[in-house]
Amino acid sequence: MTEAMPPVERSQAFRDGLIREMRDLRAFAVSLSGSFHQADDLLQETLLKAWSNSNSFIPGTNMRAWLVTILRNTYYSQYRKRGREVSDTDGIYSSQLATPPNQESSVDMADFQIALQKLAPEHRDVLLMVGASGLSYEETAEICGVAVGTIKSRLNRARARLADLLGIKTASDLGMGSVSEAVVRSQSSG
Amino acid sequence: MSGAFKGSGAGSSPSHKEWEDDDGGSEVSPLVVDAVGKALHAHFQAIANMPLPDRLLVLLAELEARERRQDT
Repeated sequence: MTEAMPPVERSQAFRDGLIREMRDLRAFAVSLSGSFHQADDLLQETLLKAWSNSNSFIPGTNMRAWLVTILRNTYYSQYRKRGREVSDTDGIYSSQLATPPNQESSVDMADFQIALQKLAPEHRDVLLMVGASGLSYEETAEICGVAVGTIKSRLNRARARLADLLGIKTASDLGMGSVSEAVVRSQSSG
Repeated sequence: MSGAFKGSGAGSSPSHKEWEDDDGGSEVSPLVVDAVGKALHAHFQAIANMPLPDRLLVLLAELEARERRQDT
């Protein structure tokens, strides 16, 4: 129970949770805004808000979902106030993510970020929350203020649109070998 | 901030079947969906693996120091 936890202990647990989530939260912010600079501003503001509102976090619930809620609300309130910042996809993004394709995916990181920014905001939100951050449909529905069915539909559309933007028609477009394809096929039919 | 999140514990990952059923069938094959998911995960991890900017770590340290001063 929140009330039973001594303030100092609560603060330490809260701090540890924040630190654990910061890297993934930054990945969420960069993917959401398309800008490292704006993402770090968002993360800083989220950190300040989370710290000053730590009493509203209920221990035992999902801190990531709580932080994503704060960050997303902050982003959209800023977005409405000053309009969308030009994405730095061609600059910082390319230099910071100038890594060769890894074994998991052969999609160029900068190309992926460009495609991500072309998604409708409500589709990108759901893809990032469910597909990347691992939030449940229910958590995402609560954050977005829509029904769970709407979240599932948006996720489906986001995946389809992203595949279209990346020119993915078959798994081999992503450099998957025949063995990988066979594994995926067997998992999908199972 | 518009209301605290009152989440229900750790998130669960959806299966392909769940979203396909919901949308009445998908035009995207499970193979492509899986590949898009892998690309998304790789993208996310690449950013998450970067070191955090100093200003965020400094801010966290300042918040802690301020709280310690208030406690004493």
